[in-house]
Amino acid sequence: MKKLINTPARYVDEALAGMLAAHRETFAAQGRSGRLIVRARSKSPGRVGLVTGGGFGHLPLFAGYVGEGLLDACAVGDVFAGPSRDSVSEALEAADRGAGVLVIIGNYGGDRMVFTMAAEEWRAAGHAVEIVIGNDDIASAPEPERASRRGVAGLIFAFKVAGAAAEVGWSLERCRAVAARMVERTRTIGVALSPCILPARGKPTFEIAGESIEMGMGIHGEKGVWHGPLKPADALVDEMLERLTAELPIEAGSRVAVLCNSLGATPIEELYILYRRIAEVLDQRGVTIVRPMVGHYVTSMEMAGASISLAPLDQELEPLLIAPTPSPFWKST
Amino acid sequence: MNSFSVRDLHTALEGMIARTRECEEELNALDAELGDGDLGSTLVSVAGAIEQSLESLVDDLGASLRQLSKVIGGISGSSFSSLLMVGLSSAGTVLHGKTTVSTDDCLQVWRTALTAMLAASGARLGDKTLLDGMDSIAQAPPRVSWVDEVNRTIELFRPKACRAGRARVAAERSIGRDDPGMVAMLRLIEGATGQRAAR
Repeated sequence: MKKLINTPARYVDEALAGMLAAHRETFAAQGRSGRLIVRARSKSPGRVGLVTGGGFGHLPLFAGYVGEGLLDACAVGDVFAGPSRDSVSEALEAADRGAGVLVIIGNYGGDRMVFTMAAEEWRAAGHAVEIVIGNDDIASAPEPERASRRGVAGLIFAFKVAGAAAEVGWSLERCRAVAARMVERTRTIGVALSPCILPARGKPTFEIAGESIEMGMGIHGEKGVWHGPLKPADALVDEMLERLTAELPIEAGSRVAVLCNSLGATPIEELYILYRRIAEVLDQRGVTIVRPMVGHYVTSMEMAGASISLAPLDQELEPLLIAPTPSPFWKST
Repeated sequence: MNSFSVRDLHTALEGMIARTRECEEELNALDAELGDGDLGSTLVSVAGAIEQSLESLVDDLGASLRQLSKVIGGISGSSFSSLLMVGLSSAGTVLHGKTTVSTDDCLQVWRTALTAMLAASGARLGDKTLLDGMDSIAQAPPRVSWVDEVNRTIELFRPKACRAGRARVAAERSIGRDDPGMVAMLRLIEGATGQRAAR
């Protein structure tokens, strides 16, 4: 294993400490474990609070999307293992500004259980809380089983629209509804070229042999839809767009959000090669891309590969998605 | 033993804590074949937290099980820990206010916990998870050895692929290997009963 670390046991805490040191104006750490990431300056009272959380190793997801115009608190777990219920309870309390709390998480068994239990306790104590679960990964289950699909890169679209809505004073129900609608419209597929290494394990948890790739692999290395030889970038993009648009109401005149995301090791040059083709194909279909996002948004440490997320927008979603935020990680080109 | 009390719970927990520590490396090694290799260490940290909370358990089985759920919720968010948390909370609700429960009723509480764990996790029976080990006990006739039932289920599932949890990432590699969660469940039951599996 070649990683720039001190010790696997301190991987999460030292990475978080570095993120906080680099962005003191954005983040602060709270909680008994120090793994509750909150805004450096709290949102105004009377606004809906937004909470997320999950396993570590996907930065900027999840903690990086805490900030003005985005989330209020993030409960951080271990590498690829979700946060404890107490940590989630602390996040709910930290995010509460008196107008209820909206939780947005990815569809993973452990996270779902922990956040649901903490939210039920929070609700039983007289607080308002709602949960929206992201399930944008089309490779993880067929469309009729959407509810069982994983949440991957497209989750950040829901963070953004709900975050912008909460910032200007929307109610908890309206924030929940707009986040749920964004999830409903978002689809993602990834392609992996090489695996990542979990620091505590020291070797890959899965292998992608030789020159082969895995279409549809999840951000923890979950099995995709096919495994085979590497193809030219344009052919991969064509297939990914074909699979994504088969499930989305995208037609000439549509305005869509596009996220071309590195899974970690894939460089910006290759992402632009992919994006070039995405733009070409969507342009040929008469589709307008609203604020393209190309870069590292949801990663899996040093996994090589990329994901494409698409979401058709409407007159309500688009202004929320493009509303300004000073977040160091929410960048649109 | 025809009934189960908080004192029995204490004894069972002490046995589980000791057995977890004995099996840390075994569980880590099993988990490393399919996941990140920390299942044993995670359970040892949970066991340590439970050990510290033993004195705080009250003479009410329901409240004690819910307290154990809270203790786990304070230290770990792993899928295995979360499942334990859900199961204990569910069983604790059923046993609210009871100081003892008959061994026959124990099986009903076990089934209630399993139902809650299935619902919360989204996993299905047959996915090759610890829930299949629990189900083998839920389906078994009264008074059979729980250790033997889970051990038999581990062997039954060995040739199958994992279809849930992190091990599904290595579904093909999981064929011919024991599910780490099911083995962890076996070790916990060994600790609780004092019986050892023939494996």
